[in-house]
Amino acid sequence: MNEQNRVKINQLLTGVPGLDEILGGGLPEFSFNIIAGSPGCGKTTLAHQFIFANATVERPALYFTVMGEPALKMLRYQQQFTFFDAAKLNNAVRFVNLSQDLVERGLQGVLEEISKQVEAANPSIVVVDSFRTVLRSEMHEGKEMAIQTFVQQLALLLTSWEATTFLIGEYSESEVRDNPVFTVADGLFWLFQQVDRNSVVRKMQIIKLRGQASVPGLHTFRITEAGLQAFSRTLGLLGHRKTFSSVKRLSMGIPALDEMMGGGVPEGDSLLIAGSSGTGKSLMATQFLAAGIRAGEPGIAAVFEERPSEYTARASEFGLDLQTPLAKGSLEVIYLRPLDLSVDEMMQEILDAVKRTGAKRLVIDSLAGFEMALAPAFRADFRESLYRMIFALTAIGITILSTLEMPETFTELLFSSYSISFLTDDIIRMRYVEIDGQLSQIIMVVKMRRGAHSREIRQYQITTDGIVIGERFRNYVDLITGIPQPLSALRSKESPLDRKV
Amino acid sequence: MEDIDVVSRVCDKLRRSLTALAGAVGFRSLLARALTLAQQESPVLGSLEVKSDGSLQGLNGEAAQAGVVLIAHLVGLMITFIGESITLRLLHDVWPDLPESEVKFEKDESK
Repeated sequence: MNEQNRVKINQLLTGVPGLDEILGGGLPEFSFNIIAGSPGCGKTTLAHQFIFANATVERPALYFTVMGEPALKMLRYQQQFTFFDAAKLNNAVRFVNLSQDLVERGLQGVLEEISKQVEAANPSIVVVDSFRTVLRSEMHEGKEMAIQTFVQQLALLLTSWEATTFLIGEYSESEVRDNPVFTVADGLFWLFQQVDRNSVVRKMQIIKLRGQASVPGLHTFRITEAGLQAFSRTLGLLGHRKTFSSVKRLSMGIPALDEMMGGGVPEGDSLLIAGSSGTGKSLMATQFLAAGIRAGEPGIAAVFEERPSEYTARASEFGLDLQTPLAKGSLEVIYLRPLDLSVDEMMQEILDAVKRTGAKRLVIDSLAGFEMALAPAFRADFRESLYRMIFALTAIGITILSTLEMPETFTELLFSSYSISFLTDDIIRMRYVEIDGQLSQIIMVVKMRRGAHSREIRQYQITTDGIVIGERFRNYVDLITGIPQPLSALRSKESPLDRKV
Repeated sequence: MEDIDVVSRVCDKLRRSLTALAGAVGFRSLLARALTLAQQESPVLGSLEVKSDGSLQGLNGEAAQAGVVLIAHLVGLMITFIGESITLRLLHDVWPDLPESEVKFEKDESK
């Protein structure tokens, strides 16, 4: 059918940050939905958030409680959330207890009472909590047809009365098949709580949503005093790929390094700085941010190993003023160390900060710290998550610098213990080498996806002015092993016969 | 006689409002708890009983005079469970003409 002839399905905003995006814009009006999941996973809170966001005195929400959590206790606990508006009680949001109707008159009694209340109140939203309890009372042999009829009549009634409906139930995944409730439902929201070691991760899945395309897969969500907050696994950034007509190079704040990189890091690239402890990765990242601030490019630092005040204090030791841009809002330092973080939440923090600051540069210091901050359940998928995050952020034109601590070996040159070099456009490697009985530091540009770069291995020093890159080591071989040999020593080992040849 | 009517009417109005919210069993439990607390304070309420439908039985003249204690405990329980703000809202739904300035709750520091 062409677009003109199609019925327009209005979308209701759910009041749950991030959920509308997952649903494909909002919840279809007049849809008949099920919120399922185990006890304590946030079903009731989700429904409450929706009704308080949408109910009005003219078109109220009817919240039917049946046998489950008593309404008084529900009110006691739900009023702790900031979305709870006591002024809406009994006018825009009305609670009705159906326990007695169910006990005395069964499904027919429940249906009659719901019909009576709906016809009297003209609600825009109807919630039945817990619907599972309603059906369980009739769950015995020979009653399947009665249940199916009840569900269909209820769906018909509520849709006819132009109500968007939520049935809340403690279902297990194995019950989805052959259950008439799930067949009739237009939308099926499944909430999970996954326990991994000592942490709990909440996830939701939109198993079914008629009439519009929702984002498939499991999405992380969190419950705070503000209620649920959902994080789309696609991070809401699909289809926003930013294209550049010409590649702009961003200065690293270290002129000699810009030169080695062919003019700086290409805008929108993901750059990895790999090196062992104390090689100056964080300092380089700070210089990168400071160079951006000087060039009028706001930045964000996501730090996991030091607090924002420590971060800016350390920068000032190298003559870099991050405190002023921090106060002015052109720099944000995000410090996250909750140990049960999801990549999606981290992304949300970064995206919010990007919106606030207009950031062009992002530093993640460090990937190891980031991984440690994640809940164990997410660590297994760290590479995939990182890929999604980097792809999503670079797609909107953010240039990302990540630092990665590498174990120092003196026989080989590792680029990444995470095997994530394929995730990055550019790689800079910093490491220690032993020269004349002293530890020196060398730097090399290993990879630049979008252009030529220097192949030189150059020494550098960390000074009070930051990283100062020196000359190329000309008189040594095997520098990348960390134990180079002087060329002169090699030549002296050559035999007189070799020399003649 | 007048007191009996007043207490009965107040309890009945609260019963209708709270039964919709908490169910008949929920209201009955709440009123039974309020009665127990009230009886400790006013032994004259000892003859009172809460029937299965949530109505009161045994309300005689003396008990009716102390009925306000029962209602106070019922409202007190509501405040304990759902807080002052929501309780006030529910009371206003039952008695819309009740001026807000006349509704004052004294905090029980022992709780």
